[in-house]
Amino acid sequence: MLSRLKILTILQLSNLTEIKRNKRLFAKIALRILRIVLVTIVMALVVYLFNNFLYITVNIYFVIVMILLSQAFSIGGITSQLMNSLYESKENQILMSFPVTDNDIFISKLIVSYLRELLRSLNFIIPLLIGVGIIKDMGFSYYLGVIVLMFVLPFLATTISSLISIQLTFFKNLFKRYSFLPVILGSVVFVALYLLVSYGLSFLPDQIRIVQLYHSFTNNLYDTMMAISNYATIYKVAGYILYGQNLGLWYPVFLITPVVLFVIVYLLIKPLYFKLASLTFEEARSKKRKAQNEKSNNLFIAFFKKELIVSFRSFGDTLSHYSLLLMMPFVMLIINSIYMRMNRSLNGNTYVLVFNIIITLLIATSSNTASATAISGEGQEFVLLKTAPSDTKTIAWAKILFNILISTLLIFISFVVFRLALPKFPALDLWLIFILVIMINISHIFWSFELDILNPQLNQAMTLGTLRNSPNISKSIGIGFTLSFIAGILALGGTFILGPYVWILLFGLAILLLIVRFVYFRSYLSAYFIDIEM
Amino acid sequence: MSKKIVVFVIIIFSFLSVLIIALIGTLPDNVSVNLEEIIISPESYDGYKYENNEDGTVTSIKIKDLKDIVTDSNLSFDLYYELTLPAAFEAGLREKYLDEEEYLKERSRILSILREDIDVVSDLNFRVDYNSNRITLIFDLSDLKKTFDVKIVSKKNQGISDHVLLYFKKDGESGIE
Repeated sequence: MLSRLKILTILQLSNLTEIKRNKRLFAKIALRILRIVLVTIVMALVVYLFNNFLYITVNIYFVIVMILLSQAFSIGGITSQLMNSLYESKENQILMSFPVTDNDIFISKLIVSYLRELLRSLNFIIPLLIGVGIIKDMGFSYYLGVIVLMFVLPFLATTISSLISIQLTFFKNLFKRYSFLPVILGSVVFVALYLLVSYGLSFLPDQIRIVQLYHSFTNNLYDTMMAISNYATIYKVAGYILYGQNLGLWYPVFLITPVVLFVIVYLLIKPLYFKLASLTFEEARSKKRKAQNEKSNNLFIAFFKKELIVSFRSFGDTLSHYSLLLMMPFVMLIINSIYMRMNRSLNGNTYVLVFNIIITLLIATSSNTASATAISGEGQEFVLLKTAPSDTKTIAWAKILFNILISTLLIFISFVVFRLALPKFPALDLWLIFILVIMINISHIFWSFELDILNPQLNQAMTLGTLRNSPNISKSIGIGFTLSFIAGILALGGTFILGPYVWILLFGLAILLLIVRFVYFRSYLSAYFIDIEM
Repeated sequence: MSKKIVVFVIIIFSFLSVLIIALIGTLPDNVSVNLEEIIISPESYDGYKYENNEDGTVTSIKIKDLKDIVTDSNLSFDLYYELTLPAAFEAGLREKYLDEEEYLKERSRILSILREDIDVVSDLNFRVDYNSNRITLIFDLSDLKKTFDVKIVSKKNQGISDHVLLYFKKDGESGIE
């Protein structure tokens, strides 16, 4: 079994890394060590800054919370990676055809995950712990504990992730089958988050003074760290080990717990693994929806309907495009609750206005990635579209209208939620900002779409199956970033020179921008849509 | 540029915007009054220890036993205090602001400025939460059997102060020696 595991692990590692090309292996190892040393120095400086200047106490609670946080991120990352590699990876089809057992494949995948996490831990948590050790002048037993943690923490994270991944795979399959479920769940999370933020903001004092607020923050941070540490279970034990408390008891507990957990995970997943992993096989798939031929008299409505259906069927993708817009009411609520509780001068009120324009525009424009990938996202389906015997560039108008509607609706909801949550904010200013943001955002949608018409990434969508690295996304976000700051600077300068008449200037420029982008978009669409090829 | 960078920029920019408004967008702090008294709150001490002075007078010192409060699993203690304004100033304020809400708002504004007037003298690590009139004292494991004096004092007038003696009662002991 061991030799099979070794071969399977090396096989998968060689797919993931450049292990075969070992001509410069020693140089790479040396560079890696140098990087770890540099990161450790930076971490030591950060810990020193926290401890001596930012009034954040670095003690056992800090260490436990940092370990817990790094584990949370690790578990999140490994779970997502394991969900893919354990149950959805296409290499499963090849691995399962080898003369090995399902258990061998399962364990080898966990070993690969463990090794990757071990290397990853050298980038953050281990340098941080060494940094704490240097700054707090810790003794030998602390560093011995760090070495033990270096090997045990990735094991713990991998084991917990493998346990979580099976439940999440189940839910993922369920969400794929019932596409309304993520909508309901997303709404519940949104409302819960909103209530939580509102509750947290109710603790803000009436008269905020920034030094006092910071001291309150550090005090509450310490209380939170202490409370979290007390419920950190095995990670609390890790803290005890580092701080040399009752080592005879805690070392065995810390070493045995992950092993017991692994045995439980193994016994739980063993009967399910083959069944779940083979779901990716072609014969295991069934068509979810039956094709229906429906005649439509209006091409635009047909395409618009298609956009609507696709956005619901691939709700995850829709959500990832507009996820930042969902963040908007929270960001607005948090920063404005702080602004409103400051004893502001007239200039202060101007800054509030300007910062609101910049921040809302930043969020709105960076959510237009759906427009920047609208044509590319069609991937290999685009060839069918091109050969259809009708004016297929209508799809661009259907897509752009859909993006404008969904974006405007989400921004409107954000402003309404904000208005209800913070009625203290001047209503006139709020709705003027809303109209300005909508106009600039629509201009930006036209601009982003135009980028995709001029430089479509159909090949990337076809070969990689994702457009995450599309240059159009980066350009679209970059343009939005620039527009936001230009609008902010104009609002600031304009307020000082024109007073309340600044809105005439801002709306005038926004309308001009909207007209220019609309004309450009229409011209580019007419001229270049026909030339788009696979 | 990716969405992650935008999220990072939004967070940093929001933080900076609060700082900018706090530094150059707020009204100046003008208060024409000093603190009248700093008093350690009754819930933060158990009683008094009396000491005879050389001149025959007796000094009372506030004391607090931390034996069951500060332990291996809880290495901090919250010390609360109260700040008072001069009675004449309070009366003047009431006269000036007849509306209760206005009065409370102005009083809150003045106190929010005066809160920063306090300083803490102690061998322990501590942090002051001005908004809650709370001092969090942080202990090391090696501090658990020691005695500490914590003094809260006005920066502007050193004569205005209060202090408490923190100790860990030993088993079978009735009070601090």
